[in-house]
Amino acid sequence: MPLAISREFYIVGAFEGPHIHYFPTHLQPIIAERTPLGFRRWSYAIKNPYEICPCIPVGLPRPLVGLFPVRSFLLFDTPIPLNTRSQLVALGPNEFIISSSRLSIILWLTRSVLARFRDSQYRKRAWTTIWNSIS
Amino acid sequence: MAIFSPDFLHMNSESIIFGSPIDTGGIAFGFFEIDDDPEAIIEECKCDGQKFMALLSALSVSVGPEAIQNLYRHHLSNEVLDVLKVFFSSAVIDLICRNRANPHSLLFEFSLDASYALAEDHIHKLFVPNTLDPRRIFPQLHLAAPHKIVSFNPKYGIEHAVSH
Repeated sequence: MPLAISREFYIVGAFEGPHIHYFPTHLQPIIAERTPLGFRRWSYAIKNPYEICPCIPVGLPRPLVGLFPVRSFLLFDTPIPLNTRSQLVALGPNEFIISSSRLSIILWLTRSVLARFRDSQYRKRAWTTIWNSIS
Repeated sequence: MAIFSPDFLHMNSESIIFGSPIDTGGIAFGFFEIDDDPEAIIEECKCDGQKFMALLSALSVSVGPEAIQNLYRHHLSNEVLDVLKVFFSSAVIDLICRNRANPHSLLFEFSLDASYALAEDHIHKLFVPNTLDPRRIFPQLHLAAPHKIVSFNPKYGIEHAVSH
């Protein structure tokens, strides 16, 4: 995408709030470009094999806190630089893994299962999420 | 996310509070570069249920299948634009045309009051992430029509699931 070359992209949040408990699960990241005037949200496409491709900027640059006034979206305190293969996995309402390494995601998910070993539903969803992360 | 049958709107047209061809929330939240007062342009975009249903009927009659597919992807075609011009002011048409690349500029929305009725027949497909158990969240639909529930990998997002 020529429009997106040489720009500084970050994952600034997630498109889905934790209204229903179905963790661990992948969530859709909110992608924004850092500009001298603030953060500017971009719409993006996800390709298969997995790759995030920013497409077009949406709206004007704003301070991060004003980027998404809708409460159902999550904004992270610290934006994370975007790697086009970054995956966002929520382990709970306030616990996230953002990584482009599938091995790292699997290890974090396995660790989270061990910490919740009595929760059979969590265990089941964790295996599904591990499968999703490598699919 | 769900794909509904057109019958859902026909049956509930009396419950429509307003309809709009543009994402009015996107206007309010600054997804558009506009010079005018956002509230004023939002009011221009909104229409009552009768007009919204007439717009949908006109689109289904006057617009070809390719243009309808483009509309689903938020891509404006001249056929759709000609119909929109009949129903909306030049300010609304101008906003749509100036923001062609912005998917929020051609995102039909409607709001219903609490009197609407939803039946199983109205639902064509319901897309659910594969980490969410539909038996727990949608037990009635799962019992009555499990084939309508489509499970998808949330890593790739809902749009990937819908387009396949």
